[in-house]
Amino acid sequence: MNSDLQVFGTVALAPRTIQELVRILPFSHHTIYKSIERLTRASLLSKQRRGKQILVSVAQGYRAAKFRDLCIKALSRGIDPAQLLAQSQYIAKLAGLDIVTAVEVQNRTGLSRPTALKVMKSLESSGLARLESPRPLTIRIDKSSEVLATLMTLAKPDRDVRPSLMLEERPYQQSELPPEDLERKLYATAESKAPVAIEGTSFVTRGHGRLELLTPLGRSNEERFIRYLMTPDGVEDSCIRMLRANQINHPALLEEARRRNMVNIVGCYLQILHDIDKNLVSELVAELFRALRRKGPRHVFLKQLKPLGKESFLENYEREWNLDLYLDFDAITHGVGSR
Amino acid sequence: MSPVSLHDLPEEIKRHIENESLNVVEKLRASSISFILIGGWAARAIGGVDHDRYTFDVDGVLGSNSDFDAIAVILSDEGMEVTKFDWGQTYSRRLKLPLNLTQKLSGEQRDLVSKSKIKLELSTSRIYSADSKYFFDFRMDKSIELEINTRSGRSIRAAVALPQYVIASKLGISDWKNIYDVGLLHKKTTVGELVQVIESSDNWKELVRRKIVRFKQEAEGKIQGTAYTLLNVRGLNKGYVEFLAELQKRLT
Repeated sequence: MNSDLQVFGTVALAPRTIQELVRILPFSHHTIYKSIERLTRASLLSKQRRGKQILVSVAQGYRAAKFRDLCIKALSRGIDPAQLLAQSQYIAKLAGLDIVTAVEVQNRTGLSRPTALKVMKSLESSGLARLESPRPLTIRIDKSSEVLATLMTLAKPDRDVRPSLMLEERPYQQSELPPEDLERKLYATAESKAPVAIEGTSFVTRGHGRLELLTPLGRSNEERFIRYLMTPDGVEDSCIRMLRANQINHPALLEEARRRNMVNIVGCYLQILHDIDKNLVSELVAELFRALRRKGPRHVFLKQLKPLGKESFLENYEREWNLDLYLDFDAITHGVGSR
Repeated sequence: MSPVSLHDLPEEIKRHIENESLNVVEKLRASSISFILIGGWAARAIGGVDHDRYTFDVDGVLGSNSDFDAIAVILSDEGMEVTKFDWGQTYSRRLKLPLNLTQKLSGEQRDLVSKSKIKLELSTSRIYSADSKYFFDFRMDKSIELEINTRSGRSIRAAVALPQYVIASKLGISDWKNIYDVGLLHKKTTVGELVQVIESSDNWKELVRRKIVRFKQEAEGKIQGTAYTLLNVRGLNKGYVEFLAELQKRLT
């Protein structure tokens, strides 16, 4: 392993002073000092004066944190991170494949046959792929490999994260992101002065300016819709916004609701919205769900609002959809009326 | 998901849109028709710079039902379309941007702007809950002339319902926007003033007593929704919880 990675790997485990690094690493003072300088310039390490000593630690930020993950995960599996990083650009081009042959590697990377074979052997020996056949050499990429996943996050460029559609100005900026992008964003916001919160958790930081509300993105819009439907804000605002922006595929929503045994809840909600605004949910959609209503034990819709009691106004919906409803009809109507 | 919000429009365009909304208010003020602002713009006028949540919608109440027709004539001249409801009327028109501003927008931003409307919602002074069981009365004599400042430095004056009236009406609908608005505005009145207003509106007290539970749930963090997060970020929860607890006690 080269001096840069050895210095980084050591500091990844615990911050060290330069003096300590010189003492414990098998390199000269000059080599270690040069490595620290290079890693600091690359924003992977940071230096801090502690009296007469200089303390070296992993820098703040997404890339540095992922780099630390990669070093520790690779080392603890007996993989040389230096070798991985040297081949990361080729590995990135192969990671999406299942079975890989030398021809495939050559086509995707432009490498010569001998180098392609070398990369394949390296993937196999580092546990990122399994041998399928020795002749001709064929390997199977191990998609469950944590080291591969971490390497891929490092290989991906930062994506431009943009907020979601809102037809009104709100006191926060919401960004709905897949977990990996949310993690990147979280690291980026750690260096900003703006307040940050993650929806659905109690994580919140105070600061100046507009709140950045980060929302983990579900696998599909329909899944997200159902997740929102479990909260008062979702029922009274987010789900309505999704419907208004035509983000919901109704047959897919029905399928997701069936999978979760929530046809009655989703159907009842859509029926209520239809009754408030026929342009928001059509009769056809409410009918689609009504046809698949389930009998059996009564489910509770929005248990969090139970302390407010029931609205007698909603009794007909309760009977029709076999539910205990704790919805705030005024709030839903207000949400439908807002833009 | 469409990738833009109004907040991300160029500042110049946001100013223009804001001015368009206020032009409607000024147009009404120039007539002799008596109206007061309630809702988001009232909250902004009362809360000043602290109030950072508002829409383009202008909500107001009219002194006399007979004024609806006169307003329809005035605003029709402005190209606004009238829709009549049991509770009042809405007047709306699509946002119009001058060509030089439209050229500064991306395709997505143009699409967003094309979906947006300037909307004025005027009701009678009595507003009802969705099931019509409860109502709240605004009073024209319980208003105050306030300045509303815009981003472009323009300021207009308008009659705005007194803070205790705006808050009392918001306590009847417990969604995150109202929970947050009341959290921002509660220091502009006292529990005593608020109780007096709530009790003066027939059975509104009964509705507020029920809905205040949700306001407290969010302020205390028992439900950690959008309002809780926003209040927490601004460090408003603690005083708000005490205010709501006192109000709940006085209404019981």
